[in-house]
Amino acid sequence: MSSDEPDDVSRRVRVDTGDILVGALERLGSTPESLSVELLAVLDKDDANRVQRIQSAIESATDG
Amino acid sequence: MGERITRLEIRAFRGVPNELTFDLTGGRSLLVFGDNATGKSTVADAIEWYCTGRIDYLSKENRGGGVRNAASRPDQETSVTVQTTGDLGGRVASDSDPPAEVIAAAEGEFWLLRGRDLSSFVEKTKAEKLRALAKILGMEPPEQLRADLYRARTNLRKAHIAADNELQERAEAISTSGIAHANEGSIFEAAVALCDQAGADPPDSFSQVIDEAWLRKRASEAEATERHGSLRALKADLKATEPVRDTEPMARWNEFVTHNDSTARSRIEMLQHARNVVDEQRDNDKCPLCGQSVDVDALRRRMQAALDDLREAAQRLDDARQDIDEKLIGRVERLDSRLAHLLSRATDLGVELDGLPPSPLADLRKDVDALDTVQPDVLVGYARRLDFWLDGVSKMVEKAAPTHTTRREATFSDLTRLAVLARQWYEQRQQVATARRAKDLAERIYDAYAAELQRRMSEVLDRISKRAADIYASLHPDEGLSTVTLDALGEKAVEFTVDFHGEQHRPPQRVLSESHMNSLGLALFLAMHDTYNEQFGFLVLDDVVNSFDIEHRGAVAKMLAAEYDDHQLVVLTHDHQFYTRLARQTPAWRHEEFIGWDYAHGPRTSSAGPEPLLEAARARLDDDDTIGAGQRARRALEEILLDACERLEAPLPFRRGVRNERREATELLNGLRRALKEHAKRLKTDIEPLLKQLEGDLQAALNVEAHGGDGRSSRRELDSAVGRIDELRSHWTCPDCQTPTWFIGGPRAGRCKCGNAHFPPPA
Repeated sequence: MSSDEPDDVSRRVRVDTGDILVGALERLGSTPESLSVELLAVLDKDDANRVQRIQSAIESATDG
Repeated sequence: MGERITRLEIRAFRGVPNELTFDLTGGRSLLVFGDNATGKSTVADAIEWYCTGRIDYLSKENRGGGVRNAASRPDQETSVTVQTTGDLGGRVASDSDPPAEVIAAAEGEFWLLRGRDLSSFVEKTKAEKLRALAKILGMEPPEQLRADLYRARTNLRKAHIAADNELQERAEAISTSGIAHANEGSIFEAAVALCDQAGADPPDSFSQVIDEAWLRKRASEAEATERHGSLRALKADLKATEPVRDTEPMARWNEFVTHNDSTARSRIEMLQHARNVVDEQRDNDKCPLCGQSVDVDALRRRMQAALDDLREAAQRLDDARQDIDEKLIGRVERLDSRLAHLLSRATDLGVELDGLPPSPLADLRKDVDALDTVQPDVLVGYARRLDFWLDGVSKMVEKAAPTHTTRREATFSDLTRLAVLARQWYEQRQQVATARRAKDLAERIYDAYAAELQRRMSEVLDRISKRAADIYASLHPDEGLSTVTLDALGEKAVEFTVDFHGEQHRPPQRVLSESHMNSLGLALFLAMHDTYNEQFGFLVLDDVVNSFDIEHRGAVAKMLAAEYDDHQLVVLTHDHQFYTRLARQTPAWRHEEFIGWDYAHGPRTSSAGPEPLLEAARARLDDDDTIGAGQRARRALEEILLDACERLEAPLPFRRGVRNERREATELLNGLRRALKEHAKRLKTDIEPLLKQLEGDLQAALNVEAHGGDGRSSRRELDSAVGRIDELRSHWTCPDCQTPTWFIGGPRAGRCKCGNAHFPPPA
């Protein structure tokens, strides 16, 4: 009944925003840096707070 | 592996008026049996209070302040002291909160399960399950980014739709020049044909048609016709102008604001602010907002639930706003802009048109911003007035155009108009392309992010599912329940699926009994503990087998002993059969029985299990308490025989119900003989004299109830009996690890935990 991979079972899993964003961009063949330029350019008319949050998430992914 | 508790001290707390201490050196597990009202749950309460500063079920019942024991001396402070194998230990008293790092760890980990909460997660709705998991897994920030990307994508989609609609209007305007499908080729061909008719040099390409310099040159060739052409273009544009008539978006909006909580957005901010104030509150008995007595923890939960509801309402409001913005206000806005442009063109051409009818746009915006209903009659009236206005001004433009024109002048006029419209169409097409690229980018990013988020979530759920399924299967072998999974349902829900006799059922309530639902709850909790706990290496289970039948209680005991031997468990139960089964399989644990409780002294405890019982018997002998010594020695012998009979699968007469668990020691001795005869004949021969002596002890020295007062056994007789009990145990106990030689394996081939001793013993 024990897992074949006890170390794997006990490994903690957390969901990190930056990791997910990087994972998503890898699917697109992109990087946080290029996304920062492209997406923020097209969001120039969007809500400033929202754009700020997205920018912070991209920066966090870049730092990560 | 996280930290374990090495010592627990409870003072003037709940059922303990004075002090109750558990020495758990090395982080050993603790198993406590006690009937109801003997104070055993005080152990779980104390650990919970130390870790969180509260006792959840008391808070729910508005009894959050009831942690102090009523019989404690005034000078005795209520406190719980915990020592651990790491840094999480400390002391919490009435006037001091738990260490912040302990509270933080407690919030994100799984370490306490009470019977009453067993199936609470399983019975949540699928959306509630996702919210609960999202909080546990720290998914709120990723979810916030998903919502932001979703909103950004939606806005860019709107911008693209608006630009595309504008392009359609431009194409419709061109269609009045006889071009059914506007494209570069058809426009170029039409321009060439007009030049041929007018005897002018034709354009080289579409680019030249929309080149202002080229147009100016053509205009200079037919200067007189320029104004005429512009007026014809204006007239065509007026004809192509269509008022907004669709009132359906207004009906949908009115339905929404009439039947939904449209004030959620503003209340979220206020409630969030209030929640922050409450979170900073240290005094758990007083509301920081109004100062009245209140259970602050309950208040926090109510505020969080209200926040969740408001956020959902706010999302619905956003969707309704988007609908009316896109389908009504945006269209009226574009229409008004077009009308103003037409009016301006007429003025430039020296034609003064009647003033535009007043637009309802400002009032519509005002009503929508105020989350008020909008009046469809206003839109219908505006459309009617515009129809009238368009008809009137078209006639005015017709009148202003020269009545007598030559064919060549008319052709130049058509060419000029076509060139102007073509340039507008081309520029708009460029804008659509830009908007489409922006929308496509936002869609790609959102889709990839949402897919990745769901993939991570599924990965997490998969890990939990696998572990929970293993545990669940061990509790219900051979019951046709092959698989239990926890699945993500889209982006907004999570639910269990149970494979029941080959068919998948979701939710599991459809096919599972209450007992099985509780099993599922227990399996899920243990799986969460195994998967997520980093800092807390202990697990408190308080009366979790109440709804299980005897067979499944045995399965729980077996599973805990086998699977959690290397964890620290604190198991509290009032079920004696579960207790004895688990105690037999966990010789290394500390076993305690709460044998009574009184107001002045609190719980009365007695260490259980053969070893401590024999130690207790010897201690009683030292105190000349032969009756007490006899009682404990007999219980020690019964424990040894019960364990041996169970593990050696001794053939004993079957009895229905609980009597199957309660047998006389002499009956157990005969069962042991039969088992040894089958599996270890030599050992049976060797110990038969000892078994006969023990039979005698059971009739004499250990027959405490029969002795009464005057026929007491002598101290020497009891001392010898205790020695024989110890000797019996030694025949199948490893001298190195002190576990039975059937600790691993079964009656045909077993061994102790360390592997140095075997059953049957080698010849």
